[in-house]
Amino acid sequence: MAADRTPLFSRLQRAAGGMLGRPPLGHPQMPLRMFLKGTGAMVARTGKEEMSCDECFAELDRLVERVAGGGDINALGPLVADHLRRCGDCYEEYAVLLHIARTD
Amino acid sequence: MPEAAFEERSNRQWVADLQAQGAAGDAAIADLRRILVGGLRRGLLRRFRASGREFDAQAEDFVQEALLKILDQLDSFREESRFTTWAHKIAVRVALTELRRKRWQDVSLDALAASPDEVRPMEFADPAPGPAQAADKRAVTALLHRYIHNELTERQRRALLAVGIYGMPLEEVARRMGSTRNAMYKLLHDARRSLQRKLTADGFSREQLLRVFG
Repeated sequence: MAADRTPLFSRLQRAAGGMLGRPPLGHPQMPLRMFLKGTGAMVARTGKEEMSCDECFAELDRLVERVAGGGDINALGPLVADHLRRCGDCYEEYAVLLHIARTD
Repeated sequence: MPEAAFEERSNRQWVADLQAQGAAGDAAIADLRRILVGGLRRGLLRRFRASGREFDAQAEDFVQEALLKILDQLDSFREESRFTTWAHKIAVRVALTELRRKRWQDVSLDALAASPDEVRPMEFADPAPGPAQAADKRAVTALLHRYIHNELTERQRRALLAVGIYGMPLEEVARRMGSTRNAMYKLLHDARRSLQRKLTADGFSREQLLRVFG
């Protein structure tokens, strides 16, 4: 069978019935099936109670110092680690802060 | 150029000096400013598409804003870390918030998600004969897609698509929706709970969902 040469976004757009809108310039979109797989995994792991971004932020300096010292964040702060797996914004702040602590 | 030496301070000295009037307060602020600019340089320069000089000019602005927040929030420092780590945390939040805002400033949520009227569930072919797991996977994926469009509120759906498909930071979704990152996280948590309840009601256990979606 000949390969479909329709651009990826157009194929996704067609499959999604137009729900994707226009692609923003410079911001590549995730393929729909990957999005559904990722969302499904998040849905499966969703707990009744989850730590909020503000609660995570309050713990970050304490945990980052311990992780920079060789600790395991999953053991030191399982709720924070769980939040960081779900929240890209908080994870980015954690990663930058950890790099700063490790290079201090 | 070698960095200038800083006066070593304990956590309490930092707080006391930053609250002091006159030379002691000025010296503490100057030291903290240099420490924070150095931290942002180490932590963010490689993510920043600019020269070191351009970055330093931006970093000075970020740190100026961070210093105001730090001085305003000194009472909330709980001494669970070194004072400088706590201060770096605030500077990193300020800097990343601003960098995200600039990176996404020309993108509207409307460009990322069509109006609800235009949203239609994706059509999946009927499961072909084959392993039960493959059939499960197609069925549950089709259901998940349908529920995203039929069961979530418009705000939940727009936020989920913006973050999940386009990778827009939660902070930026919140800004466009007149909300906060914290409230957005709660909105998406509620959305995930709602989808989980629907799939569970359809007979998919947590274990099955994990097997399908990984």
